[in-house]
Parts: sequence; C-alpha cells; structure tokens
Amino acid sequence: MDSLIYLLHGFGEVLTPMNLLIVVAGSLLGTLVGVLPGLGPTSAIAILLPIVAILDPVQAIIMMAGIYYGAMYGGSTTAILMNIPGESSSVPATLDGFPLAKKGRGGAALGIAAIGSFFAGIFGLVGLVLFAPFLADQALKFGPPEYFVLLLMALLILFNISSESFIKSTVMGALGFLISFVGIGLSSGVPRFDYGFPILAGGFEMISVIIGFFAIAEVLKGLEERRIRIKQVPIKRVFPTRKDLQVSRFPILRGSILGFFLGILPGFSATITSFLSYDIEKRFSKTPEKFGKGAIEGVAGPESANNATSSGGFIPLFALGIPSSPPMAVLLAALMIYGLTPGPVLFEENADFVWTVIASMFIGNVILLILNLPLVGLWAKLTDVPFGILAPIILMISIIGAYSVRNSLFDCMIAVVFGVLGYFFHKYNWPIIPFILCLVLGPKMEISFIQSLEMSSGSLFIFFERPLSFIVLVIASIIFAISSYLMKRTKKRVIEETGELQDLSS
Amino acid sequence: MNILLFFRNKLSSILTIIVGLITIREAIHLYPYSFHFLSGDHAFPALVGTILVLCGTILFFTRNRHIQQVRFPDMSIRMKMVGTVLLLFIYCILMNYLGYILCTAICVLFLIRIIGGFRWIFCCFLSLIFTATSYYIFVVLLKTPLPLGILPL
Amino acid sequence: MKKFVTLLFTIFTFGLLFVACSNNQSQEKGDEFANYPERPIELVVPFAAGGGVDLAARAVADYLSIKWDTPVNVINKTGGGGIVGAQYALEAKPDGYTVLMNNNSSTTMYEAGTTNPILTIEDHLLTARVARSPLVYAVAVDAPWNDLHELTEWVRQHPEELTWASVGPAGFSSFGVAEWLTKAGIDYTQTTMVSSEGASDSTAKVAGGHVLLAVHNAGEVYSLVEAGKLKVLAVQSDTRSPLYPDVPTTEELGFNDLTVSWWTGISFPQGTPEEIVKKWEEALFEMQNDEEFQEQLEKIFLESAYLNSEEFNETVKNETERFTKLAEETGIRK
Repeated sequence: MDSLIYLLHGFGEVLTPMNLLIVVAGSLLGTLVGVLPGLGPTSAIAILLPIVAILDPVQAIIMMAGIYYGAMYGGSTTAILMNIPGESSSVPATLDGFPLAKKGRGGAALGIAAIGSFFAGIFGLVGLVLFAPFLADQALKFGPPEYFVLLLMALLILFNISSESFIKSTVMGALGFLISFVGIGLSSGVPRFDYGFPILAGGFEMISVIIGFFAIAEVLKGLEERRIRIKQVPIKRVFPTRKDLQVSRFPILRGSILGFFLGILPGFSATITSFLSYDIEKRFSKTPEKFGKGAIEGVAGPESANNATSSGGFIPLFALGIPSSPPMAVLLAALMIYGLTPGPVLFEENADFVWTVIASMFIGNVILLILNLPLVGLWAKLTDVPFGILAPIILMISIIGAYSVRNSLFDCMIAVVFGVLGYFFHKYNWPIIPFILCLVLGPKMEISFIQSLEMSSGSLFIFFERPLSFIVLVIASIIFAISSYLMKRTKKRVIEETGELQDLSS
Repeated sequence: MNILLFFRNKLSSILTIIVGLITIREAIHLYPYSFHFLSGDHAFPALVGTILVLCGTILFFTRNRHIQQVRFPDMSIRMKMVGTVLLLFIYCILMNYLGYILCTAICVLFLIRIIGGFRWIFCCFLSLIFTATSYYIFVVLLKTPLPLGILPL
Repeated sequence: MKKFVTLLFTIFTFGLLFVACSNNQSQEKGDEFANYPERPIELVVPFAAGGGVDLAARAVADYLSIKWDTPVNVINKTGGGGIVGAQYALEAKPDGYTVLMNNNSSTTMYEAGTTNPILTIEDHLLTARVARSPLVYAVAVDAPWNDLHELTEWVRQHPEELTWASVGPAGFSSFGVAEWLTKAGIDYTQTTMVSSEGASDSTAKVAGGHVLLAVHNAGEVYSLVEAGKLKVLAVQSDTRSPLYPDVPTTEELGFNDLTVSWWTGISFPQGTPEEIVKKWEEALFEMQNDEEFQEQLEKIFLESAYLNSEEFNETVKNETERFTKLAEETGIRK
C-alpha cells in the first residue's frame, strides 16, 4: 500500500495553488487546441510544448498531462457538434453524437461524453495506481535483451497498424532511426553521420522534428483544405437527463474496462477500442435500431473506451518507457527533455514525480468535468476563429517551441524542414507514425542492442536464451496476431462509416 | 514519356535504396571504433541501411495495384504554401540579426497577410498584438533566451 | 605668428581631447565593471535538466540572482556528451554574460580520452570549483561481496567476468574502474564495459543484476541504495560520506592513491575581463557560507567544495595529466 501513501503525497503536491493553476491552464489550453478542427492530442502537445518546456519538470509534466486530457476532450466536442472528428478515434462519437446534436441534444451528448471520459479516466488511473508499481518492480528484471525484444515487437505491432503497407511503415521507421543516429555515437562517443558539420554532431532534437510533423505540416495541410463554415446547432441543455445517465451506466463501465485493458498493450489504438466498444454496445442494446440515429449509449461507450485506452497507455509509458500510441511518444520525448527517462528507475528515483503526475491527472479529470460542461458553448464558438489568424499563431509558437528546447535557431530550421517533409509524406501516403516512434525509441533500442551484445560478448542468441525475453517474444507474437485481426476489422468499419481510409494508429 | 512515368513511380524506392547505401557506408566508417563485429555504433546503422536497401528493392519490384494520383492544390494555394514556408525560413535566419521583436512583427505581418488575406491595416494590428503578447509570455514571463538583437528592451 | 598660435591651439586641443578621451575611457571601464551585471546572464549547462550539474547550476543561479538583483538564467544545451554546450559557451563573446558550468566528464576526462579533442582545458578560463561528490562502488544488494577487498580479490581471480557500466569508453566510470584495477595490479582491458545512457541507466542495470558494478558519484546511486536495491562497497575519499556513514572509505580499506572524484565548476571564455572573473570568484566564495545554498546542495547530494581560480586551475591541470597518463596506459584513448 506504499503507492497509496505516495499518491496522497502526490495530491498534496498538486493541491498547491500554483500547481492547481497549472493543471487548470493545461486542461484549458489542451481543450483549446483540441477543439480546433484537425488538431488532436499529438499536435496539441507538440504545439504547446514551448510553453511547457520552460516550467519546472514536475509542473511541466502536470501541464502536459492536462493538455493531453484536454485535447482528447476537445476532440469530442468538434466530433459531436460539427461532425468533424479530430482524430479517427472520435469517429464513433460522431455516429450518434451528431444526430443527437441535430435533435438539439448536443449538450446532453457532450455531457455524457465528459462523464464517460471522466469515469474512464479515473478507472484507468486506479488501474495505473495498482498496476504500475507492480510492473515497475518487475521491470528491473528486464535487462537490455528483454528491452530490445520488447521494443522491437512493439514497433512491429505498431508498424502493422499504422499504414496499409507494412513495407512502407518499415521504410519510414528506418528513416526515423536514421535521424536518431545523427550525433555522438552511443557506445564509442565518436560523432557519426555528421559529415564534418559540428552542428550535426549535436544531433537532431526530436522535439523539433515532432513539431515539424505535427504542427507545421498540419498547418500546411490546413492551407489547402477549403474550410466550409459549418452551421452549428445551438446547444440547449448541457446536463444529461437522469434517463440518459441510467442508459449510459453500463456502456461507460464496459467501455472503460475494455479500453483500459487493451490500452496497456501496444497495438490496440484508441480507434480500435472505440469502434469495438461502439459495436459491442450496439449488440448489447435492446434497441439496436436507434444506433446511428441518436442513441446516447453510442456516445457513452466509445468515448469511455477512447479515454480509458489513453489512461491505460500511461502504464507501459511510466513503467517501461514504451509509448503505445503517438501522443504517448510525444509525451515520452517531452519527458526526455527533462532527463526523466521513463522506466523502472523512474519509480524508484523520482517516485514523488510520478505520483504527483498521477494525482494531477485525477485532478485534471475533475477540473475538465467542472470546467467543460459550462464552457461547451465557448469552445464551440472558438471553432469559428478564422484559419488566417490561427495558422500564423500556431506557426510562430511552433518555431519558438523548437527554439526553446536547446535555444538553437538550427532546431527551428529543422522544424520547418520536417514540416515540409511531413506535408509531402502525407500527400504521398507515407505514414509518419512509425517515423516518430522510431525516432523517439531509436536511442533506447540501439543502446539495448549494444548492451545486450556487450553482455553476451557478441552472441545474438542472448535474445532467445533468456527465459524472460523468450516469453516476451511469444506474448508479443500473440498480440501481433490479435491486433492484426482487429485492425482489419476496424479498417473495414472506418471505411463503412466515413467512406475513406484514415490514419488509425491514434 | 513512359520511361519518365516509370521513373516517377519508382522514385521513392530508388531514393530508399540510395539512403540505405549511404547509411551502410557510414556504418563501414564507424566499424574501426567498435569492440565486436555486432556491437558498437556501427551495428545498428548497418542493420537499418540493410533494411532500407531491402525494402527499397521490394518496393521497386512490387507492382502498384492502385496508383493513386497525388493531387496538389491549385496555383494560388500553392503560392500561399511556398510563401509561408519561405517566410518561416527567413524568420529563422533573420532572428539572429534583427532580434525577436522586430523579426516576429515583420514575419507575422506577412504571414497573416499571405494566409488570411486580410487588409494590411488589420494585419499590422494583429501582428503588433501577437508580438507584444508573445514577447510578454515567452521573454518576460517564461524567460526564454530568445535573441533580442538590435532592440534589446 | 598666426601660424604659431594655430599650431599651439591645435596641440592644445588635441592634448585636451586625448586627456579627455583617456580619462573618459578609464572612467567608462571602471564604471562598466562596477555595474556588472547590467543585464541577464546566461549560465550554460551542457547537460540535461535534472542532472547533478544542472541542479548545482540552478542553486548557483538562485543565489546570484538575488545577490546581484539580475536574472541568472540556466540554459541547458545538451548533446555530444557536454561538448556542444561547452563549445557554445566558450565561443561566445567574452563579455561576462555567458558562463559555463561544467564537470570532469566534459573537461579533463574528455581531453584525456579523446585523440583529437575539439575543446581543451586551454579554452576554459577556470573561475571556481563549486561542488564535488566522491566516487562510490555500488553493486546489487544480493551480491556476494561485502567490501571492496572481496570484490577486488574476486576480480583478480575472474577478471573476464566483471561487467561494469559506463557512459562511453572515456566516461567517468571508465576512469574510476581503470584507476582502481590498475592500482590493484589487474588488467583492466580483460574486464567488460557495458555502455550506459547515464547514471540512472547504469544503476538500474546493476540493481536488476544485468551488470555487476556501477561506479558513480555518491548522489547518483543514493536513491536506489535507499530503496534497498543497491549496496555501496566503498566511498573513494579521505573522509566518510554523510550519505553513507557506515560505508568505509577506500583509504580505510587500504586502497591508496585512488583519486577519481566528481566535481562541477564555473568557467568563462578566454578573454573575459579579469574584473568580472574576480567578481564571480568572490561571489562564489561568499556563496559557500550561504545557508540556503548549503541546504540546496544537501538536497541534491553534493558537497560544497570551493576552490578559487588559481587552485582550481592547478587541480584541473593535475587531473588532466593524471587522466591522460591513465588513458594511455590502459587503452581508454584509442
């Protein structure tokens, strides 16, 4: 029960006025970016990183978690009110949410989404409190060979779900690795891939690359889309009725459990779980014919699943340092700026830190619930701000953000270069998610590989001989099979519902 | 024309192979610094280079069943995009000389003009507001050491 | 006659101007440094936030900001094992507004372990040492050795079985292990180094039983010792460490002349006005007696260890020579 004491201590930390203010600011900023059409949690964290990067580590991560949750919530708002899912994981919420909004019950749908997200978030966090220390304890036994196998398998699973072609994903992943190689060699200390330029010997800052791909490229994409003003349906009542709550009770519970447990494993993105939850609710429902025409359960289940998946994702992130989705990869990169490499040691060495962050998530969820229900109208208005004003602001903040990590203008250039590259990758249908994952995980994976072979004096059998790494291999293969199957299914469902293939990895 | 089209379709795979080869070359340069054949700074680059060459070769020989036409936006939007990207580059370069305040004011002015197409006077107004607010937030409050150049306030 | 007057007048004017100028200049110079610092100072840390150097730098910055009533901003410029940031700071304009906080891994050890170092000690205008921390030998809590003697004997029997973690072949741990084994008459090259990303990575590997020995500064292993995952075999110092009062020092155990220890200090780019350097030296000297600063150091497990510019220079020069010799003997330098 150590973790409970730590958690209480964490609450004490968060409930100081300054930290509370940061949680509120983070949640609000996150929602703000999340509501902007086309921008999801990943871009939100990337864009807001500069504001965060200057705070103290603990406060920064608290804010980041707030931004993450806020952006998720903001995404549901646009999905329900305007039928624009910020990311593919919000697609199920549009199916019944938008019909509800057209009936004038958009407020109730948003309310249920918020309540569902809240419960799922809390559920996920309870799981995090119970599971993470256990996992972190076991994680010390994970040596370099186990890490390498684990990372390799996680990457393969994520490659598999992030594009229609495994080969294309692999190429992008390899390019991500390539970028991570530039700089000082991990084992010898000799500069590599620097071609004689001292500035390259310092390596590429991954945050610049992420800002380029997710903020600048996103703006470039936005430039070419013709934005049609969508007439918004007025929101009447925000609070759901008693009957709504009663109907949604079990969908929320089922969605949370499903999302949380699948969220712990890599390869089950929020898109997969939210679609799964939607279909399960349809099957469980006594009135399946109402689905698609405005059934409140159809909002409650998927939104809960969506959020629980993200909460579940924090477990492998904190305990093992493995991101299970793109926003987690960006969070991982952000943690690394502070020299806080997630992993078993983080729990031992920075226990205060981890528990403060977990406590801040609880509080962030509560704050989102309190703030967002009354503010729904305001958020909806925000989507009316012209792109011509938003885009320059996003671009400028991105540049400052790229600058603030290492205080270098070279990094700003890199952000712009990768922004342009990101746009072309998008145009030619090359997935950037494998690129980002490999860029972030590259150094960790390489050092694990080098360490393993140093331990075994150059024998590759170390990856199969050790019982733990063998078990990891077997389990990962099973997950790979299941996730491939579910992925195919989700792909079919997405095409059924939206008529086009979207990026499913988030 | 056919050859050109063929080349364009295979461009990505050819590029992949070239990048792979460059990576392998660098790995060979790194080999003398290592302790074992398989462990050291060269091992992973060599592996990644090999994967790139392999994938590039596979892509080269797979027939694209459904060649999607990549449609780029029309001229005016394309100019907008090129202008935006160029402005950002200029911004990064000029910042060192002009300092944050002046450079931001100028660049935001043109960015808003290019992207939003508002009237100049409105653009000026917005750019001043943005510059002032961002200066206050990032330099005064958050103490980002941005180059202040010729306008050190 | 008229010409003569003109000449006189001219000479007089020039003379006056000259005097005025030189007067003015000297006055300006005096003023300039009397008022230093007039604008915010950049304290460059070439390592990631949260590390030992960074935390010490923040303590220094906090103290000086209040003392001088001018912001002293800590800036982390990471990459290249500390070389990127150091290069940035040392190539900055030597006007006293860009200062570097460094440690031995990017100075003496880097120079000793690298064939063509980009930076050498000559590039640093070493101003003052701020803090230090002794080196400790840590193994997993269930390891069979109870003191450094037992470990040394075991290594003597099975040198090829010893694995130890280090950030690169020319890192802090490499020098520690190389010195210890060479003095004990064991061939250092027979043991195996396992590359590590940093102290927290190495200690985790040792705690998990994947690597046998971690050699780091006292503060870096403290949290895992507290958590009951690691034990410390010896502290390399002449006095016991307040962090581990029960652990004997290497001197007590009879290992003499083991010198590797961790320090962090301030340097300026060459060419920085002497007055400014003096001012920093004095301020840092006074800082050692500041209670708040001491408290801050205790929190981050460092010991304050002020050395003035001259002594600091002397120590660093000695250290570089010793390490270079060690690196050449043991093959750390390739």
